[in-house]
Amino acid sequence: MARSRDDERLAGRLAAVGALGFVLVVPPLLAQFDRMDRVFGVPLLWAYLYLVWAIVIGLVAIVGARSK
Amino acid sequence: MLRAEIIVAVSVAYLGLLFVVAFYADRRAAAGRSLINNATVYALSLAVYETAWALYGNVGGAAATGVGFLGLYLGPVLMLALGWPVLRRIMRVSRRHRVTSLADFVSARYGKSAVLGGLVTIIAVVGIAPYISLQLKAVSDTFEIIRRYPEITAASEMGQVPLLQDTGLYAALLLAAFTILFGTRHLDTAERHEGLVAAVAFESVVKLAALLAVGVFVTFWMFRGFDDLFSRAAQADLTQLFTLHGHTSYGTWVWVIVLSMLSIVLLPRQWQVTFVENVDEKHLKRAMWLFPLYLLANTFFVLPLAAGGLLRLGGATDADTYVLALPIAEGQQALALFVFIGGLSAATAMIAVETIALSTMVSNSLVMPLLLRSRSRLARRDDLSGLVLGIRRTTIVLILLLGYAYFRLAGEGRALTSFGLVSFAAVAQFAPAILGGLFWKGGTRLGVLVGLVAGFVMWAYTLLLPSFAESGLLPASFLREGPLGIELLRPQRLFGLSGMDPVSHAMFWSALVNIGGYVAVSLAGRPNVAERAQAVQFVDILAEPARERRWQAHATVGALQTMLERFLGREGAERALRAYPGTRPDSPEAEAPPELVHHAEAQLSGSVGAASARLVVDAVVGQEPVRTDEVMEMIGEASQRVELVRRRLEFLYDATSSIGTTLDVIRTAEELTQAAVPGFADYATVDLPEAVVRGDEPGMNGGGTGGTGPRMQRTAVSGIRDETPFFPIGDLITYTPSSPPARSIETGRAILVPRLRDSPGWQEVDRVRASHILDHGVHSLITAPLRARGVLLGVVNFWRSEKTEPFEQDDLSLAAELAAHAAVSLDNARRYTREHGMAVALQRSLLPRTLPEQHAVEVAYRYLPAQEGVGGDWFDVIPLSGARVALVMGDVVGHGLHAAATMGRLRTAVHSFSSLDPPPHELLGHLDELVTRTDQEAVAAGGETSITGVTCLYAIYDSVTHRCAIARAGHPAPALARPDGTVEFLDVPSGLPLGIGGLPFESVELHLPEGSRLVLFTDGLVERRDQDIDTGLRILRETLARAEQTPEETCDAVLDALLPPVQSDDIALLVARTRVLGSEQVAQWDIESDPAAVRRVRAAVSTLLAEWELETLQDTTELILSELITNAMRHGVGPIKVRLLRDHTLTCEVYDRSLTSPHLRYAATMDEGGRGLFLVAQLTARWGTRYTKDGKVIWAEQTTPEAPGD
Repeated sequence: MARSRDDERLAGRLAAVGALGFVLVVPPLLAQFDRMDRVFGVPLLWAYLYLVWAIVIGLVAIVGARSK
Repeated sequence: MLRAEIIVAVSVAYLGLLFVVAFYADRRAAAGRSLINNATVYALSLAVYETAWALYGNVGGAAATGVGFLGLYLGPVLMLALGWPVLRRIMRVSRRHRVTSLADFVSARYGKSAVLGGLVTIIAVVGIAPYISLQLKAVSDTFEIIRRYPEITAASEMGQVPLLQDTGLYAALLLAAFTILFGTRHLDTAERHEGLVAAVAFESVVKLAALLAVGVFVTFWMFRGFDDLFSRAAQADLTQLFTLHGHTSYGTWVWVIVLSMLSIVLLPRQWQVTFVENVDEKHLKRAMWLFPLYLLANTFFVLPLAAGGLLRLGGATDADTYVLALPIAEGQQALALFVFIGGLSAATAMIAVETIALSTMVSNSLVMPLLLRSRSRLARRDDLSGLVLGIRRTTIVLILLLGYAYFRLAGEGRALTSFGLVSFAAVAQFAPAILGGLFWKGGTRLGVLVGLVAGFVMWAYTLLLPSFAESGLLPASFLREGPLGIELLRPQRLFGLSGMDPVSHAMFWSALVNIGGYVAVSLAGRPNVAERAQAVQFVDILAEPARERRWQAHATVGALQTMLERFLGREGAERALRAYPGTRPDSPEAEAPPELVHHAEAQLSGSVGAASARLVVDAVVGQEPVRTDEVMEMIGEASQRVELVRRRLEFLYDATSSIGTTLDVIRTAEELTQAAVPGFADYATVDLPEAVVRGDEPGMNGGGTGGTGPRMQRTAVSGIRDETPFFPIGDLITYTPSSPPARSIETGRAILVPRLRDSPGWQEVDRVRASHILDHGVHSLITAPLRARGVLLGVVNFWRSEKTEPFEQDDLSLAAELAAHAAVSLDNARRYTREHGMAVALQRSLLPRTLPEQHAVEVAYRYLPAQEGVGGDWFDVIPLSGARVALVMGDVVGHGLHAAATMGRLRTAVHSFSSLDPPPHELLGHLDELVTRTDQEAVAAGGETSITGVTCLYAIYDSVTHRCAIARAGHPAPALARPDGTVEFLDVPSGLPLGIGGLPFESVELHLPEGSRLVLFTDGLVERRDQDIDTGLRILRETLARAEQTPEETCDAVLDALLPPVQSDDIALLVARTRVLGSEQVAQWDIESDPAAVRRVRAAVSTLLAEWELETLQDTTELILSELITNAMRHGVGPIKVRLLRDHTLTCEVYDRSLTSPHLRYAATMDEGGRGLFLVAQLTARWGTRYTKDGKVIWAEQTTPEAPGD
């Protein structure tokens, strides 16, 4: 029982991470970064997308590691 | 210049290396140390997603649309984040139901529909063909490019080459061979390919390394880092690298993300590596972030490469080849070769996994169901595993050729990326059926069918056909003006829907009709039972497993094994059966339990798919796959259980109603053994302690058996054969304490011995006989204690020999139940035996054993107790004084102990009364009074049984006068057979039975000639249930008339004639033949009241005794007579009479008219008189007084030295 509750919590958190990632990579948020600017010498949009990507990876890794 | 031979050699060497990796992984797997049982390897194997198309085409895409290509990677990243809630469900379902392909999954989810499986397979093959052609194109193009090194050739310049010179064809054939060698060497029930997965993971590392190497080289070698690269790009006004807007619509962007989310699950190769090849679902946890990380690394240098390519090579070179062209342009021969190998790596991995997945689908979900349904000769072969492998290998070749054909016909001149999206859009059609099916129980087979067909048609119309049109296979007007010029039907502007790019447009329409059709049709109908059952299995997969079961499946283990062998080969079948967790019946003829059938189906569905497996198993178990199947499932477990219980109850009812028909212990034991054979056991034996057979207490409760174990007598044996190997009936068996019967007595429970061979305790009892029994084929035993009313009566053993299955735990309760029922009957019989024996013993002790010595009549008698128990009949012969005899016959109403006891009391009473020697009617009067009084006492004491209704007959025969006085109280009149042969029933007033009261009894006196036979009997002799009493009397009369003269012979004749076959009442019969005391043995004198008369009598007596040769008695006789005569003179009233009888005794009688009874006095020392009777008592054997009609008689008997005339 405890196991399945733990499981549900994990599933919920991961679903939230997935939803967050989806919201960040589609308009309108995406459109905010869809500009010709460069940061650290690289295109802004390119940097933004990889940042989101890295954040999602990090969150999934952390959430996954915290569950048994 | 790189020579083609070198390139080919390196390529082949690389493929060889892959084989080594795969071989090593297979070896490790066989040794139980799986290489791929590792989360990192699992994550790397997922990277089969990254194909050669991606390796080369991404850079091309980036050169045109900047980060637009990233949508294809963000989708998988997001989907993997959702992996735990979504992917794990599919993983569980796949594992539990042995789903080995996408088509299998859809088919299994919707009621194991073969049609759906086939449809999904067709869509997948058609949809994936462009994708495969892409890989072939990538390999052949890059081969051409690198072959022409250091020239940089645009792909468009290569043009069409003749078929036989086309590297694409050779690549296709080479890859087909590679795949066949890799994936279809043998059949595995789980469709797992350890070696292949290991090789894929290895390839993923190679292609990542190649891409990273080239990326680093371009970014940091050719340019001075990102800043330099992108600032130059900005200066060159390559705006497409920086933004999306202006070249890629956000709609497309979102659709690509969504499509790639679905593809990472629904592409056949992804399904294969993600679910089928997965070893442990925990690996998913690491893959959820490791795989996105891999993708991140893989795509990181794509944009820089595109920028570098555009800056250095410009539009002259095909952007799709930048990855290869850049090293070539810089003269980096080795790096170029490495990149080529990376591309080859990606292509082989993709093609191998994809074609294996597709071939599994084609063989399991398309070809096998068709073969099995059509009952083709192929499907009836004994070994189908070869057939399945053949189908798969052929499919692999055909798919690659299909891809190649697509490449030849439509592939030229199109950008790689748009190719791939067509395939993505095709597999996305499965999403409603699969994802919907995972979360919604309402989906129906028909809904999926409608949705899939509609979505697929829409996909083909809006994406596939336009791709043909663009390649020139169809006229361009098809796109611009619509088919037949109908504008509304323009494939990329369907129904006038404009403003969308082709992919968004196609996705919109196909999703609309697909989801719409699925939901609408599902809601309109209702899922049938099979669909509902599967829906629950799939949707609630994360909950505890519910078992799907077949109920009416009847198949032997052997049949299942043969079936498995046909598909899996001998070894595979062995493996599959070994994997069965339950206990497998060891004999091939044994019926397979439903769990085993289900297990076999699950194992088989791993190899041939759920739908095929169902068809095959249905055929074997003889189950109709259609309607009845539904009904049976609906009835389900409950009815099966009920049916089982009903059958058992029926057996128990039949068995118990045939046990206990009699009250005989041995007969009851026999009935128990007969009831159990053959319905329950092949042999049955009953052992009882000897005491139980006798009706006594068994005296062996629980542990009171001492060290040696119980000793019992084999009482009954039954079997399917007459000849049995067991102890014969009557043998005394001493059970050792560890033997099953002893343990069963000890514990009071039934004991199950499923395998006698493994029971040392049982064999210990008698080793020789045990081995004899085993040789006879007897293999299984249940011993049940016979326990009733808290008493252990013995044991019953049930044996099995012919029935191959051993007794099971379930049989124990049935055996115990049967034993308990039988034990009650046995105990009843035992108790009856005991009580009956006691009553008979009592009655026999109450009846006369030998009749007293007397010479008045010659008697014979018979007493026959009733079969149902003892009765109350009695008879008696009582010698009376004066050569007379009393004959008694009585009958107490009813049977049993009470009647016997009453009889005993009355008999004693009659004896007592007769000593007073009253006439018969008076004696009956006393008896009547006694019965009435006893009854009253009994009623007062609260007793319920009365003895009212006793009948009795009393007769006194005087052998001197030949007269017989008879009175009766309700008793049947006696018969008199005269010596002349006439027979009559004496007319004696009937009187009322005793205890009724009322009229006094009457005696009748009659004269009996010498040799008359007086026949006394009870009603049991003449009264029968089926026969009128008059008939009985008539038969008796005729028999007496015929019969021989002696009483013994008369008795025999009467019983022969009258004894009924079933004796319901007891019978007493007494025959008395009269004798006469001759006149020479009687002397009589009248005495006048004169003292001198005494002297005269003494003188006469003296003379008489001399004559009778009884001189020895002379003195005492004279003394007795003078005392008695003096007494009569002194106290009595004249006239006085003296009589002497010489019988077996010498009797002196003195008659007078007085009714005063003399009594014995002890005279005082000084008394003058009063010593007479005292003297008489001293001198005689017996003396007494009896009353006559006109006075009394005082009599005295002396024993004579010898009988007269002897």
